[in-house]
Amino acid sequence: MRRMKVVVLVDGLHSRDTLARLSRLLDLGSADLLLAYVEGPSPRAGLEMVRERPGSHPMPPHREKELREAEDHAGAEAISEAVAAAQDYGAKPEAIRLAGKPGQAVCELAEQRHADLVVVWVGGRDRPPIGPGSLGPAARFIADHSRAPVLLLRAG
Amino acid sequence: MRTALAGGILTVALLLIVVRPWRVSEAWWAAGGAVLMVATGAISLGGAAGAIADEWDLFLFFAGLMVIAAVADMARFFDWAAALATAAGRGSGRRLLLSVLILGAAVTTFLSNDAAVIILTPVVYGIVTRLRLRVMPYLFAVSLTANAASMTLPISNPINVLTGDHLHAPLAGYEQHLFLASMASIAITVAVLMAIFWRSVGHDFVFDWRAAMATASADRGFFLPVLVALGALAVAYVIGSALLLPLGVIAVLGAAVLVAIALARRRLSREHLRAHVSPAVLVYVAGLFVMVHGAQDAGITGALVASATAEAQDASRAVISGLLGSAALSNVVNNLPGVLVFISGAQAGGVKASLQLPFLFGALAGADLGPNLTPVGSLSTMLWLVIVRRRGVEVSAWDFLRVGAIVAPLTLIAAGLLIALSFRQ
Repeated sequence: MRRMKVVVLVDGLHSRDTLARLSRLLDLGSADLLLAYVEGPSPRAGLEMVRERPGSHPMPPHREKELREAEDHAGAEAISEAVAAAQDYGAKPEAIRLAGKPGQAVCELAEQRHADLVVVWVGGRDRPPIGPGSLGPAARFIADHSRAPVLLLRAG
Repeated sequence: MRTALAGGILTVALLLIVVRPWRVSEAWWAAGGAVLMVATGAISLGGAAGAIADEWDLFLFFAGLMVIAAVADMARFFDWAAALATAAGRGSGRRLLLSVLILGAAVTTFLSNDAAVIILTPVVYGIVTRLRLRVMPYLFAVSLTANAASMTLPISNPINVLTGDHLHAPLAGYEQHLFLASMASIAITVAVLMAIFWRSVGHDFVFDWRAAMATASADRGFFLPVLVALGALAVAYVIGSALLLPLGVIAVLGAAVLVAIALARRRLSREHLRAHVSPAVLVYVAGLFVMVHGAQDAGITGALVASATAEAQDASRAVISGLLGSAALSNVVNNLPGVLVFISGAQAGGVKASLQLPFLFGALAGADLGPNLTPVGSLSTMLWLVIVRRRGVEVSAWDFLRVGAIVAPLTLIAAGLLIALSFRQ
């Protein structure tokens, strides 16, 4: 019997929660688990927006380099933490780092790998909890556009 | 005819400054408007030169401030201060948000809101990214607190220097009317942001603060003298404000001392100076002064302010008129041209002499706090949104506007009431 192919979007904050809840629904040891960390453009866009004012300049090259290193460091840590968590639940995961809009990147990855299931943690949005919006942009895009079934996980 | 000409040029130039077609800097649109004012006779060449020369203190202040921020950044002062704030967070994302809010207020108070927003935000971004915490709450914290704290001292925002130069109010008088309003604005901003982001920042982190602070201050021969000079500069600003000394001169002297330290330690970096010192800002401000002066000569700003203060028969109402009018104008265009129009209108007789002080303190508060609603003026914020959407980015700008829609009205109401009350004593 073909092993189930599962793509999991990991965000660096809820990887353990995501994999813990997923392990209650699925035997992770018997699935091909692909952990995807996507470095999206939104945080940088937020920084640009906040700094936008008359007379503001692009950042000096040394600062730009430091921020790039911080982003790389965060991505590497997020992936290694997710891999360790998956291994704790008996999985032998493959990990991948992508860049771009998280929703689109995950949908494309799921299609390329013929995934049977896409898993997303919701409620982990980097946004103020004001106004409507049960799903963040990535989860909403995946729910709307993924060709594979989508599993939305949340706390509680 | 002259009124229509000056009004037309000012309106079109302000529109171009906000829209910035072809991404041409606002400085050149302001300069173009000023040249057009002179060329069409809306203001004489001598009048234009006088409008710029009269504000020499503000130009010196802007120039000094940019150099001070550049040298402080060379010495990694902002990295050191952010590491200190992160240490104060003691591993809690919530405590870190609080300490970032306090750090933003402190940097704004002594180094101005521009230094906080332009230099401190990338430093905070780097630390928070490394700690794998949510980035936006901490960026909002610096940005919103930079406006909320920008009334604290006359040097906390260049707009205060501009207004102060016209009011000739010593520090005691300034603080008598603005201190409580400033503290209330900071407290409201801190409370609202802590409440809004309480759940979003509820993550713990591990941070080796000793290593971070040691790295930031590793070049002790450069860092320590700069730290001492910045402390001395803060004291000089307070004394200078109390004695009504020109703050621009103090800023330039402070910048000269810091550059001398950097030169002596062979640490002066052209890269930093290029990144932080922008002559275009001075061109922008000069262009605005000429255009607003032209509009003042044509009777436009006086009439505008007179209509805004028609109902203001006492100090409290003058405060509220100034505050609301300047906050509204700051959001339509930007706070510097906004407050300039109000100062010019008050000077031109748009406000009774006895109400000038409450009106201009109200206008100052409106221009300082108003931008929390739309950080770069409503139209340019909207254009910014369009640009990043085209780039396919899921933007946090709507989030910024939603948070600002709570913070800005609350701080404006509190500040307006407290400033109005200060005139009743």
